[in-house]
Amino acid sequence: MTPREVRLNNLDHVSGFARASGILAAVARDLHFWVPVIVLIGGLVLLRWVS
Amino acid sequence: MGELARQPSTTAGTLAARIRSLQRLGVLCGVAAGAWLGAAEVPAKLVSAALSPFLISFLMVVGVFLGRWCLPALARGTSDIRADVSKAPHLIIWAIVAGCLWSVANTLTVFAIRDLGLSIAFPLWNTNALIGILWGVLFFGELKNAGRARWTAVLGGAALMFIGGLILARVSASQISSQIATRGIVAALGAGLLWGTMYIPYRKAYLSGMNPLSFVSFFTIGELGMMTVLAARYLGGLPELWRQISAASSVQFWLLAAGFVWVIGDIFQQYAVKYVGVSRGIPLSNSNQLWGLLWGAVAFGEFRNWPHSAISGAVYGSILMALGMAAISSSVADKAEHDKWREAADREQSKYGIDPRFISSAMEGTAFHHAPRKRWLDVLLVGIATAFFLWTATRAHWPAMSLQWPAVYALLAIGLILLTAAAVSLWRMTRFN
Repeated sequence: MTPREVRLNNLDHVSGFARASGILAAVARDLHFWVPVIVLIGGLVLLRWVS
Repeated sequence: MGELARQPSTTAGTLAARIRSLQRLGVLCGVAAGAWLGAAEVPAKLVSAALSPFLISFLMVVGVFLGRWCLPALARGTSDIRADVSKAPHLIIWAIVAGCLWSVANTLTVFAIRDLGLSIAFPLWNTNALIGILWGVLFFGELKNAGRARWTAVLGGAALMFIGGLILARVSASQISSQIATRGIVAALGAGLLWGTMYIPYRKAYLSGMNPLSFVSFFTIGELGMMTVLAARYLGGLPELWRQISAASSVQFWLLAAGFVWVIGDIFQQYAVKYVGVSRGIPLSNSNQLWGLLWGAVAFGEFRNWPHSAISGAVYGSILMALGMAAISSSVADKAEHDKWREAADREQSKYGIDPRFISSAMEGTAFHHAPRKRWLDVLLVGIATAFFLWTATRAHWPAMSLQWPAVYALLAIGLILLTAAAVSLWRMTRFN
C-alpha cells in the first residue's frame, strides 16, 4: 500500500511505517501546509540578519 | 453543505443559542488572553540586561514546555489528549510546525525588546492580527457572508491598527539611533508575520475538532526542538548552551515564569480562536499591547526620560490600535457566517478523513470521548514541573530594578480576576472542550 492509498480514517490496519507515511503524504498534499513552512524559512533568515 | 453540516446532534434553536454562548465565551477568553500574554513579557524584562537573546528565549521555552504539559494534564488528563490525537493524527505535524514558528517569533521579539523597549515593540509585532485575518479569510472562509457592516468593522479596525503601528514606529525612531531602530522594527514586524501565520495551524486544528489543550501539548515539542537548535547554533554548540544556562542560575526562575505566564495567556487565546475564529480572537487577545504599554509605562517607568511629544505619540498610537481591535471584535459572526465555518470544517473532514462526529462535538464545545484517566501520569507530570520551578526559585535573585509596586499589585489583581472568570466559564460551559 503506497502512502497515497492510505486514508487517514483507516489507519488501524496498516503498519506503523505506512501509517506515518500516509499521514505525512496527506499533510504534504494540503497546500495550506506550505504557507507556514515558507514563512518559517523566511523567519530563520531574518533571525540570522538581526542577530 | 457536506456530511458535517448534516449531523443532527442538537435541534437548530438549541444549537444557535449554544453557538451564541460559545461566542461570548470566546470573547471573554480573548480578553483574558490579552492580559496574560501582556504580563508574560514582565519576568523577561527583569533579566534582559546582560544575557544573550537566544538564552533568554530558550529558558522561556523551557518554562512554556513545562506549562504546556502540566496545565493540560491537570485540566483534562493525558488520556484525553491521547484520545484526541488518535482522531486527527495529522495535526501533530501541524502543531510541531506551529511550535517552530512560535520559537523563531519569540526570539525575534527578544531582539525587538532589546532595541526598541517593551512598550514600542509590543504594538509592532501585534500586526500579527492583520496577517491572521488575511489567512482566516483566504483559507477558512472567515468573514464570508458576513455582510457589509462586519466587513467595514474588520477592515476599518485593521486600518486603525496599521496607522497606530506607524505612529509608534515613528516614536521609536525618534528615541533610538536609526540603525538600531530599523533592526528592532524589522525584528518586531517579522515576529508579527510568523505569529500571524501560526494561526493557520491553530484554526485548522479547531475546525478539525482538536481540543486546544491537546493541540498545545504537541505544539510545544516543535517549540522546544526549534529553540534548542537555534540556541545551540547561535551560542556555539550544546556545551556552550549548557555553560550559559548554568551561569544564569540566578535568573532561570524569572525566565521559566515568563514562559509559564505566556502559556496561561496562550491557552485562553487558543480557546478564543476556537470559538470566535482567527479574525476576531487574535485582535482581542492582542489587547496584550495595552497591557504591555501599562506594564512598561506604569510598573517599569519606561517613559521617564522621554519628551512629552514622544509619550503623546506612544499613547495616541496605542489608542488607535485599541480602537481598531475593538471594532474588529464587535463584529460577531452570525449564522450565515457560521455556516461558512462549517463548510471549512467540512473540507478538513473530507481532506483528512476525520470522524464528522468528532468535529461536530468540538464545534459545540462538548466532549466526544472520555478516556479513563491515568492519574499517576498526570500527577507525575505536574509534580516534575512544580519541582523544577521550586528548584529554580530557591536559586533566584531579585534583580536590581526599581518597580512601582502599587501599580504592579493593581495589574496583577486585574489579571487574576480575568483568569478566574475565563477559567470558571470555560469549565462550566465546555469542561475545557
